[in-house]
Amino acid sequence: METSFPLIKPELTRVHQLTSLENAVTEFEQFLKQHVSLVILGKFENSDLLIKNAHKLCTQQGAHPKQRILWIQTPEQIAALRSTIEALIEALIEEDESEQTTGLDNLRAIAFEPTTKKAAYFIYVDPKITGNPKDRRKRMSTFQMQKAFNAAIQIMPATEEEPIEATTPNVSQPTSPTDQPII
Amino acid sequence: MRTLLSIFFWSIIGTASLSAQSIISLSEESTSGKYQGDLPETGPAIVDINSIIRIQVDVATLEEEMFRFQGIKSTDSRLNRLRKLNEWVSLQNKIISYINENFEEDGNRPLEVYQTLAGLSQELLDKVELDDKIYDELTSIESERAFDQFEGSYILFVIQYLEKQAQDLRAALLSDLGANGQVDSSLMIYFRIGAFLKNKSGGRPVHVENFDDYTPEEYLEVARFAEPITEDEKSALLRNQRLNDSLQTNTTMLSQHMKGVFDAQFQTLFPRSDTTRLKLKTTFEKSLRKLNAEPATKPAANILLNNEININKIGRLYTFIKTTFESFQTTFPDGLFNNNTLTNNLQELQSLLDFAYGQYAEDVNLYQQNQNIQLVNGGIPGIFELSQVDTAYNGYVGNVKGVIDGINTLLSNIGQFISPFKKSYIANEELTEAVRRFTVGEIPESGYIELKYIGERRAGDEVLIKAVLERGENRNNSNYEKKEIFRRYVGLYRVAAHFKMSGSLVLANPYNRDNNSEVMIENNFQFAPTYGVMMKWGSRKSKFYNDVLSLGVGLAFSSPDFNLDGTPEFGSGMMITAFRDIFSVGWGWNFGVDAPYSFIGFNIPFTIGGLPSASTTSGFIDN
Repeated sequence: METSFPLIKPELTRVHQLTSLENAVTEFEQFLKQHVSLVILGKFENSDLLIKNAHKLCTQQGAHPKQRILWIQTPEQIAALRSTIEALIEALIEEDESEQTTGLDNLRAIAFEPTTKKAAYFIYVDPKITGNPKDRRKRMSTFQMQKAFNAAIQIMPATEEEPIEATTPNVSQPTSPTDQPII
Repeated sequence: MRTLLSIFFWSIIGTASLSAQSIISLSEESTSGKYQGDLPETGPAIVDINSIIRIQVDVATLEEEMFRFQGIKSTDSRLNRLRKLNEWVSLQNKIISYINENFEEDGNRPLEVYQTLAGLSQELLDKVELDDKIYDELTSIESERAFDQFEGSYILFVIQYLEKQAQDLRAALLSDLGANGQVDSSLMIYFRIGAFLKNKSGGRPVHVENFDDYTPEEYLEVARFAEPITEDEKSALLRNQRLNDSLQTNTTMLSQHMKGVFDAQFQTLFPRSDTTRLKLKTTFEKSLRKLNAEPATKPAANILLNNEININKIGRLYTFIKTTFESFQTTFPDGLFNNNTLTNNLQELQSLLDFAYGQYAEDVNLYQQNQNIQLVNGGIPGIFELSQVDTAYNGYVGNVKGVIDGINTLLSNIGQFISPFKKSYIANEELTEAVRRFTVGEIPESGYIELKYIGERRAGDEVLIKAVLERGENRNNSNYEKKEIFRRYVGLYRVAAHFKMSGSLVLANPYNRDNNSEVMIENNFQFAPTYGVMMKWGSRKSKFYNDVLSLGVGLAFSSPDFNLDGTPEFGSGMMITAFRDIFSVGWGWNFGVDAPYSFIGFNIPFTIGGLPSASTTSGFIDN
């Protein structure tokens, strides 16, 4: 239907960060539960450009509406979440022995599926350290971030919430306290 | 030494496996979509007469073949690289069409839609990831910046990058065809696919979607429930068949006749214009010499000199048309059908004549109006000579236009009555200009022939599909070369279940006659006319089954007279037919005398008791 006045379509950022160290774990867990998340750890070379591109991956045509980035930038934030993330990774290793990581310090990004909070894809700081030839390409890039999102979407179990609305999140009802746009 | 042997061995294996790969593969799909199956690469290829024949092109192998035909060595690493990029094209197209189909508008989508796209995207990225060079370029900072500016999704960004890589490689390989970045068009390699319906009457081209510009024929579905044809229809079909045969036989005679017509027209049209052409030439040269001799008439001479190029152009084109027309006497009818050059040249000559003569007249007019011209003896210097040239020019133009009109009229007249021959004779399996030429990088992955839209066809007809590589477009060019890379006949049969009705004569045996006093016949068998409604089906594997065995099962309705009272009773039962329904066996029940009977029948190809009989001729029974 055509309108006689311009409709402004709000484009919210898909890149978020933690609001407080005290509630970091709660915020983190809520975030994972509500989104197809790519959790990016720390600052890195060309991070501004890659974070912009990560945002594009969440808003592009064909992106899952729940795709979001959580950028945990500071060492303090990472330290606050260390045990939580390690527990999630540990659970994954127990479940699937083929997925091996080299510890949180070598992880640059992790893609999570929301329903089970299962880690679907790892991007490393230095892929060589993992010792797995399959990981040799998994250094931070838009290419790898796209693969990470693809992996998370592919393992999502079907829920009763289908079909999914391909719209931006409701502005008046923030999905979580972590919805603090940074770009 | 061992290494060398190993390289030799693997190169042999590699070459063999490449040549074994089929560039074109065919498959069949029913219009309802219920049946889908590949046609075998060898042996009989049979499809249902109402199906769709899909043509799948292995673009990667084809492009490699095209470059080899061009002269690029198989060992050239660029070919391998291009092959890899081409192998991804199919997946790329799948992704693009999936996005277009599912994400064109905002709205609700089930999770599986996102998952399918993620799966397709992942498949392509996984393949790309294995190529070091491409991966390094795609993840370079330049590419990251480029994606930042790109308006579209990341997977489309990757696809666009891959397409550009492939295009650059093609351009590099094609650059070998010329110098200074200019490709010699006469060396360009083209790929073409054509299809033809072939039967006893000859052949005609049929439309292949994506590969030619033929318009589809009228919709014609061969009905599943075939009523027996009447005698009138049968006569009409026979007349048609005789007409076709006659046309075919007389084609040679027609060719001879047409060559005579061309010769007569040539002798009538050209001498007159040749005379006026000669007159213009002599007048022009004489006038030019005279005007050049005096300083006062030099400006008038300049007018002639300025128009000399145009007159020469007309002369060259005129000579070319004359030669082309003359050659029709030997090349008819191929030259006429396969070449639109003459028609185009006639149009060009017409325009050139109008322009050139108009230019001359305007130049003379401007000269006359020029105030700076010094009058000599009260007159404009040189105007007499210019006027003489004008008269000769005018006569020449008039006569050449007469030649153009004459040729156009002849071509138009021929075109009207020769078009029926075009399909059955020349277009038998000749790839005409309507069949598109594709260079590397623009070849469609697939095409199809929708048999319902190829017009009249009969069970047993065949569709010939052939593909060629051509060097250059013009077969008269010395560089021209053609290589047939695919040729396959596909038989059209009534494979899907269908019904047929026909009458036949059966020998009925009331085998339980001892227990039925009403059965009076003494012989074992009694002749009885029978009408059958049979369900039949064809085979996609065996031509022998379709052409000879051709089984059917159905109901039989007969009228035996077991009580011999002179009034036929009504009987009905089941029957099985074989050998194109010539032979039948069955069981029935005579409702008049309550007696069972078995029967064998023979479908003799003539009418019995007013019942239309099935013919043994496939074309008639299947339509």
